[in-house]
Amino acid sequence: MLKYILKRFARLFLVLFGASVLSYALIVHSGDPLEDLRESTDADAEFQMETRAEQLNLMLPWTDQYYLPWYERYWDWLTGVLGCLDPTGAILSRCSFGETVNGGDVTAQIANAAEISLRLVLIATLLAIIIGVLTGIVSAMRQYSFFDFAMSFLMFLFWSLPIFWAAVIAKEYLAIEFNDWMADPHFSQSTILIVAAILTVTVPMIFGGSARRRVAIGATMFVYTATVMPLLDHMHFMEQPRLGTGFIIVGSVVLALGLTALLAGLQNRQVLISGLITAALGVASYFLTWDLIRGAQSYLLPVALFALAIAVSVLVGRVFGGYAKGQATAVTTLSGILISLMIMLDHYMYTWPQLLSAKPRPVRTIGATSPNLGTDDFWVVSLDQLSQLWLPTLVMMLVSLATYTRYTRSSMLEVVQQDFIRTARAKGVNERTVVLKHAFRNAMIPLATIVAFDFAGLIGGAIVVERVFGWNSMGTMFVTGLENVDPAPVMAVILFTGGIAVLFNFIADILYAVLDPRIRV
Amino acid sequence: MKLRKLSAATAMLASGALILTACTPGDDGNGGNGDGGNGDATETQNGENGGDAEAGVEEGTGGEFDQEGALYSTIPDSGAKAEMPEGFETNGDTIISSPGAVPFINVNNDEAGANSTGNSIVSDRMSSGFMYFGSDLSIVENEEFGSYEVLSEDPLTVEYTINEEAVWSDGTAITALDYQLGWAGQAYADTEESPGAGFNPSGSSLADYVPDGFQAEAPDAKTFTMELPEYYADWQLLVSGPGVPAHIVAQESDMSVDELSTAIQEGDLEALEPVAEVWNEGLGYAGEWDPEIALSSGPYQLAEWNWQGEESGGSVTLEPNPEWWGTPPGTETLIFQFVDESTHVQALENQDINVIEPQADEDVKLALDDLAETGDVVVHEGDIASWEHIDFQYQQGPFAETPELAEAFALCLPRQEIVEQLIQPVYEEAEVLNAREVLSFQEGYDDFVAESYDGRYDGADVEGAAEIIEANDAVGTTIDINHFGQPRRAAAVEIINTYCGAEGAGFDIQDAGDPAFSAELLEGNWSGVAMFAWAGSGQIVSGQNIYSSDGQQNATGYSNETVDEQWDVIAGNISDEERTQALIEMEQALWDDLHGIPLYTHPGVVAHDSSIANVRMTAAQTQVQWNAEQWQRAE
Repeated sequence: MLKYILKRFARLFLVLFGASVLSYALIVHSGDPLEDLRESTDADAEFQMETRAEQLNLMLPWTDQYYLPWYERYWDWLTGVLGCLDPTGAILSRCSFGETVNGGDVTAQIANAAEISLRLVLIATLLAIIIGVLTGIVSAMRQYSFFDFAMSFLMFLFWSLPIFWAAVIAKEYLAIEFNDWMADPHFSQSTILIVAAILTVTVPMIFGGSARRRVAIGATMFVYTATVMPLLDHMHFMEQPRLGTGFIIVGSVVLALGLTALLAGLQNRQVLISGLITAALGVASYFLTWDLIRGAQSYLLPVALFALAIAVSVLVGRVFGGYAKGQATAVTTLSGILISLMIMLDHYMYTWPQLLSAKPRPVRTIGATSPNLGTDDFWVVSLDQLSQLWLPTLVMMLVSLATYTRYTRSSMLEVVQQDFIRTARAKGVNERTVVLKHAFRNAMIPLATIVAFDFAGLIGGAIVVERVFGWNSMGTMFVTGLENVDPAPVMAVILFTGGIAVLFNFIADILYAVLDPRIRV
Repeated sequence: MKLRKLSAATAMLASGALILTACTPGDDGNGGNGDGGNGDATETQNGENGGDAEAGVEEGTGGEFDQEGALYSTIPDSGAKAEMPEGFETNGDTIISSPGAVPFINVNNDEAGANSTGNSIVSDRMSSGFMYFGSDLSIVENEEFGSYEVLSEDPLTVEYTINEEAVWSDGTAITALDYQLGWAGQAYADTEESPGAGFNPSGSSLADYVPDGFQAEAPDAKTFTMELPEYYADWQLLVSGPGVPAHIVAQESDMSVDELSTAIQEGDLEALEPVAEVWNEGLGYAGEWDPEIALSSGPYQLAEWNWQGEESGGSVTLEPNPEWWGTPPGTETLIFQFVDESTHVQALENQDINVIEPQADEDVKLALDDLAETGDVVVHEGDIASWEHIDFQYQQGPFAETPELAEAFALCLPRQEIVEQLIQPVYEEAEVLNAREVLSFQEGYDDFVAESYDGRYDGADVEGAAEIIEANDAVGTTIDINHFGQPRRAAAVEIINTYCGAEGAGFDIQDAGDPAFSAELLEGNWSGVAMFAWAGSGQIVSGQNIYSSDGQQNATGYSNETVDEQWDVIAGNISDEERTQALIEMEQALWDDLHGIPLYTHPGVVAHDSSIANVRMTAAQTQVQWNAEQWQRAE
């Protein structure tokens, strides 16, 4: 096994080395780094050309002082990067990703940019996985239903969206138009009717069942939407949204009940009791921690409380789970996480009016933060970041959603036809257990591979999205570097994204080897 | 069955939910939520207005220096900044603009790494100087800062006097030493020939033309003189702002102001080494800054620096400089956000950015015109100081073998058509450019053209061109049109092809667009013609480098005695009338010999929130932010 891992690991470096040589040569020969200065008639243009040529080790017609062929420039760069493998700095040279054409330090820059890009890509990937897998399962369960066809259509639509265009459209409608609407947010009669009609049609499709049941669900949805939306409008929900005590209590209980029903079945009293205890604790903590959380100065406190909530939930599951410890823990942990998120949402809703007064147009089309917020309040700053994050995340998520949905669907359909599923059904195992325990788990195995590929692909897609949304991270580094024919920043991006792609494949390889001993040769 | 029970329970709970809302934490019972901090945020945003500053705003009439529909406190009547009316006060407001993606990186704008438009746009708001470029590329003396006069013509000696009131934002007077330090930054840089103290400047012309530096009676004098051993026609451009505060640099490098002064006078490289370190990156670099060190000599000072890496992004917030002695700036908070130009139009529509200067192409112009129709946005369009032209290569290729063909090419060149199809969609009033040293937006352009050019290449004379080609037995001669591969230039080649190509005058026109051509341009080893632009920098003598026989930017082997002679006259110490006369003679020779043909000046577009007054477009490289201190939102 160790030999196998080492072999794979060595191959990883070979791939990266090959990629870096190739990219470096391509970047260096992609254009003229002095182009802007050559068209300049500035008295200092020649001096500036010399400065830049010295920085980049280029050759100039009137001085051969700074000439180095590209492979020597590559070698200089490579020795700097290799230095990063040696933290002591004793054996190899100092760790450095080189300098930009203006003499800036690329090492610091890539660290900063990678953090922002990863934030974007991680959240988009996570959401895409959750939503994609859920849609995929429902599609598979309702194969050849209208829902299945509609989802297939939508997924292929999203999948074939040019990401650049999708981003521009998202800015137009979800930022500019939304902000215009937020100036005086009211639901008109027709909006209410349209939303109600859409929900009336779609919700029964997801729930399925007999025709009578569908009609009943549809009618309920229509009445519900047609009463709640005007009510929200009347309450000025868009300006001052709150979940409120009622929603939190009801929501927590519903979550505990629903998760129990889904994962263990309501007849399992031990699990049900654990779930309800978690819900009660969650509601209690909502009131007890309100002032504490309002006073948060950074993410440290909410994150710590979140961790505490998970720990407590796990504990509740262990203590009250009895013979069904495993299932109980799953239910309590999931309820704990979801209730915490609900409470967090309420806190953000509470901050919304403050954000609106600091920033009357809540979604900006550019940048990861708003420069004119005029307040240091943690909640406002954090909500501002969220409102800036959601559009790029949405665009990136939509594009990769299709892969997960389609793979989950086909993988589910394949597994459901297997003998062991038929056996389980024949034994009288109920449908929930068949789907979740037997089919779903096995259907997830091939998906692990896709995550590795998709993640690397998304980082590439992020370059475009970041550019359109004016985010400053690896995308801008890459494009600006290429425009300046400046190899160091471009190479840093290539090395980073390439490294992640290779690393994820490496992990996938090892996982396979762990799962399937036949592969270890 | 269980599911149905579950949904029934859910429905019951859901209806109960609304009843229970009463005791929600944080609810103040008035139907509103939000903490006390709420009020503060509103204030900083929409704040109290500083007096009735927006009182006398007038609408522009669409004259030469203003734009119809735009608001002005004073309608500008020249390229200089308009004088703000009496009682012009700072308005408690925020205006955001974007100078493009390249961020502000160094408080010392004279450092090599800071050599970008983004840096100088921000830096210029935090400094003032003896002169600036007006919107028509004219040199404007800034009397608020100081004055200068020529003491002697030979050698040229200029005396600069800094305004008595001029101080840095910590209250310390701006003195001659600040200028001497700026000179030292260039003079004691490391070069190939000699080691220096480690200064890393973005230019060398000041040290080249003023080898002895500035002379002052004392380091803290308000007057200093500059002596140029050799006459330099662009001497006015050598000195403007005070650069960085010498007293802060001295303090940061652990020496007294006098010691610094002595070290500069004596050229003591060892003593200057720590100074160079502070000068290069020690005054505020890459987001690391200290309000007591990053001082301002202009209307604004640094308030916030949101640094997000060098390639792009982040923002800089400026606030009024409390020690500023001149006309107060128009707006309390000026924000520069560094984002790519492709995002500007939507950002303007969403009011994320209030003043933009995007890439001037047809799509952008159409999108902006749509926005302008709502009345919320005003669009300015005009010329910028960058001019497109075609140069003939006389060292090799078809024009070396048969120079007469240059005449044929010039005759069939559809200049009017190129302007109509490519430039007028962006800037309707764009015209064919008929001069090289005076651009169409500059003063006296019409008279200059009337005297230097007789209109011989105005109409695309395909037949005339064909005759010459046939007479030289050159039908089908391949003419490479070299350019850097931009779409607009490729489109121009197509238009040229319909007139001069096989269907027209009879050349074989080849589009040789290639980004790599830029590296070969000045080496001169190409053939045919080159189509590119010179970015004008407002200098008088920059053309000498291009047109004289041994000029460094002369890449076509062009040589003409009259041109060489006239350039020596132009670069000499003469009056403006004499200089114009010499320029006319020089241009005539360039037309006669067909060095090349000017095509058009590049168009520019500026758009802004229509409620902001005093936004003006400029042809100079200082961009629309050149008078940002005058911007003010009118109610």
